[in-house]
Amino acid sequence: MRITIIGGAYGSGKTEFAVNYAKYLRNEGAGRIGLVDLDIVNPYFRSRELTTDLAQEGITVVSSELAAENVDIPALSPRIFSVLQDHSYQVVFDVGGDPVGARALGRFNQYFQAEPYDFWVVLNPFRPDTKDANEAIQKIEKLESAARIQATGLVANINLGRETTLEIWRQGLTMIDQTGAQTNLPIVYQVVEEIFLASNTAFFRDYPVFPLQLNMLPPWLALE
Amino acid sequence: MAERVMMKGNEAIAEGAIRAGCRFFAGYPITPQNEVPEYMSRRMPEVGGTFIQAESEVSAINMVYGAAGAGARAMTSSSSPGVSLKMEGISYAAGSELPCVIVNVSRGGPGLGGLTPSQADYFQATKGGGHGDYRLVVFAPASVQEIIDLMYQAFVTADKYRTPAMILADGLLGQMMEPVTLPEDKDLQIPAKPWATTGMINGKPQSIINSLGLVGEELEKINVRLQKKYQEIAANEVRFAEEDVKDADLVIVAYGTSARVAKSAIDKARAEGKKVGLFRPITLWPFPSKPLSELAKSGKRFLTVEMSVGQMVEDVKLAVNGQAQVDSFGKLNGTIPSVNEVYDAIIKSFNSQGVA
Repeated sequence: MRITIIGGAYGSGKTEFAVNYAKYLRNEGAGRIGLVDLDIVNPYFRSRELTTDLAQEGITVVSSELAAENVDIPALSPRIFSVLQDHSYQVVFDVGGDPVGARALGRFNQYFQAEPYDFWVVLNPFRPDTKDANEAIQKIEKLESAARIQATGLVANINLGRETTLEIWRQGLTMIDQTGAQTNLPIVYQVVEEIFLASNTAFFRDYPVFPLQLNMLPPWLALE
Repeated sequence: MAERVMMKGNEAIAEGAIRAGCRFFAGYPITPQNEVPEYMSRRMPEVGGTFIQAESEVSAINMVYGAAGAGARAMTSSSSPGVSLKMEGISYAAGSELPCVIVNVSRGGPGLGGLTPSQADYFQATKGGGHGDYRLVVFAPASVQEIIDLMYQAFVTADKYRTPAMILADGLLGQMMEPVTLPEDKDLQIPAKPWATTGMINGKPQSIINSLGLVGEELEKINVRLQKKYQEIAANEVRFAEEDVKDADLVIVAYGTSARVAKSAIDKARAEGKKVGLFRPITLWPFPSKPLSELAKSGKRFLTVEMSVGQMVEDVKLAVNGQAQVDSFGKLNGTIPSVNEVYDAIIKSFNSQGVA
């Protein structure tokens, strides 16, 4: 699929996954990669902070036209149209959190009508507003309604930060399984932090594994 | 079992307040604390509380004044320039002895400044900010869990002394996500507030809340009472944390985000055999002067680390009172110091102060 839209609840891990997914596409040898930072909700921990690093890896980050990465003006760049219209681009949308963030997708609806897309919803069962399948399903429905597109898959981002254990993972997986079963949405990836994956490879069997490298760490964790 | 969840600092501010019995919130949007009112707008109706998006910061703090005067656990939240606007109301609340909580998720200044994290509001929070001889109890959390714990503590302390309390966190603490344990619902035992303006039903005597003292002697009496209260707070409510201080030659003094960065830098210096420790003030007022003075007496030297030109360093110097050298590392421009920058400052401080 040329267009992949990464949405989800606020703080579910969308940006980390979107950045990693863009890098993954790049490594897979896909042509040009456009990472669209559609986060108009919050100026912290956005993918545009990584623009320079990603450019070196051949990934074009499209965000606001306003030069600074730290402004909170909800302006979208006309360059988003260029990556949508130029079919030599693989496009990854990093959508802002919650339905309020997903609403910005409506502006590009004509492209999603004209061309097939993936709309993956990132879920972390350890976030307070998606603790169980009911809450997750409600969230997905609200996201779909605000974005005016249908979800096509779920990305399981089960974690309690540095406290994630296999037991934590097992607990979280129940919610993911139930949400998948009740919505008929496939679990396209289970996101596992690389350092955690290395010691537990055999554990993650049920769904395809996506190894994740964290990019958006506070400085005291970014040292290593 | 208490639930363990991943929370953003701003969400923790709001949920921590609700679980501390806060039932009135008024605020006006400003980055980087917008998740606080957003969360409150959703949560307050669920617990029978009131959320108001006011037309301005000035209006919001005065709504808090009214709600606190009627006996509610009330709060407002903003970020640096917005907190400046609230200063008149905060002084009024202090003068009228109204318990309430003000949250500052601070950003870079002066003026309109920027949206990035900063600790340059230390003076404003601890040295007045508003007019008159008043004090705010100022709590400085350094983790998302501590935000939740201190929100509770802020409301308890405010009620106990009938005085406004402030939570001073920076933008990074507001925005970052960490695992936390939310407190179980408990009997909060909010103290009775016979002074509240709740009407004269059933023979309740008239309550009047104001901060007016037109007769000189009367105003003096009010101030004497306030100062007595502040002395009591200073004697009873000091909070701080120490790590690796006992054998340390050099003690880093840092709060909030700076303390987190400093901790990693200290670990790095320790790995190289440098005896460095961390002293972290948790209440910025009352400032933990006594324990710092004792550390100075025992021959330790100091380095303050702040995301400002160096403001808290003045309180450290007052506490140390010439007994030891106090170096200062201040990071300007609204950026967060890296672990390596703080590490370099540690080495520089070590070298400049020579061997003890």
